[in-house]
Amino acid sequence: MGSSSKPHTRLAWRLLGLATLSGVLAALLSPSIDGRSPLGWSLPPILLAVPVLPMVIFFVELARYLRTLDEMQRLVHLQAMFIQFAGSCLVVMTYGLLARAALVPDLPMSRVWPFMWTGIFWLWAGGLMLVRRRYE
Amino acid sequence: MTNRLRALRAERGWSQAELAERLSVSRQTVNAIETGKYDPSLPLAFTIAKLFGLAIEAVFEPSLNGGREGDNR
Repeated sequence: MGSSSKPHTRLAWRLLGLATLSGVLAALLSPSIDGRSPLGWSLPPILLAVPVLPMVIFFVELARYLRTLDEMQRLVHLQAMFIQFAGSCLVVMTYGLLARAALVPDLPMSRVWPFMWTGIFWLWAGGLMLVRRRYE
Repeated sequence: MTNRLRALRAERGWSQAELAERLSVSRQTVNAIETGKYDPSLPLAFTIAKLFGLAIEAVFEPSLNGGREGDNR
C-alpha cells in the first residue's frame, strides 16, 4: 500500500489513455465496416475487436488497481461507482423517454453502443473527483 | 468519533506520510482520519492503537453528537 499518490496518478492516466484509445479506435473503425469511413476505409468486421482490446486491458488494470487500495480509498471508489451507476441509469432512461417523445434525436443503437462505456467511464471519473474532495 | 491521532503523531515527530507508511495506508487516509472525515475500521483502529502502544480507547473516543461526525457517510 503506497503512501505516495504518484503511482496511483500514473495508473489513473494510463486508464484514461486506454479509455480514450478505445473510444478513438471505435470512432475510426466502426464506420469503416459499411464503407462510410471518413478516411475511405473498408475493413473486415473482425477488426471491430480492436477497440475492445484496450477496454479489456483497462478493466484488468482497474481490478489490479483496486486491490492496491486501502479501506478509505475503496470507500471512495464505491461511492464514485454509485454516482456512475446512478448517473448512467438516469441518463439512459431519461434520453430513452425523451427520444420516444421525439424531443431528442432517436439515435440508432448500433452507433451508440460502442461509445456508451466511454460515457460511463467519464461518469466514474467525475464521481471520483467529487467524492475525493469530501475526504480531503 | 474523535481521535488523538494528530497529537500522537506530532509527539513522535512523524509526518502523515511516515505514519501512513507504518500503517500501510495512504497519506490521504491518515489525513482523513485526523480531520475526522473518515472513521477507520476496527482492525485499522487496533493497528493504530498498537503502533502508539496505547489502548484503542486512548486514541479514539465516541463523539458526543451520537457518531454523526466522520461516520463515513
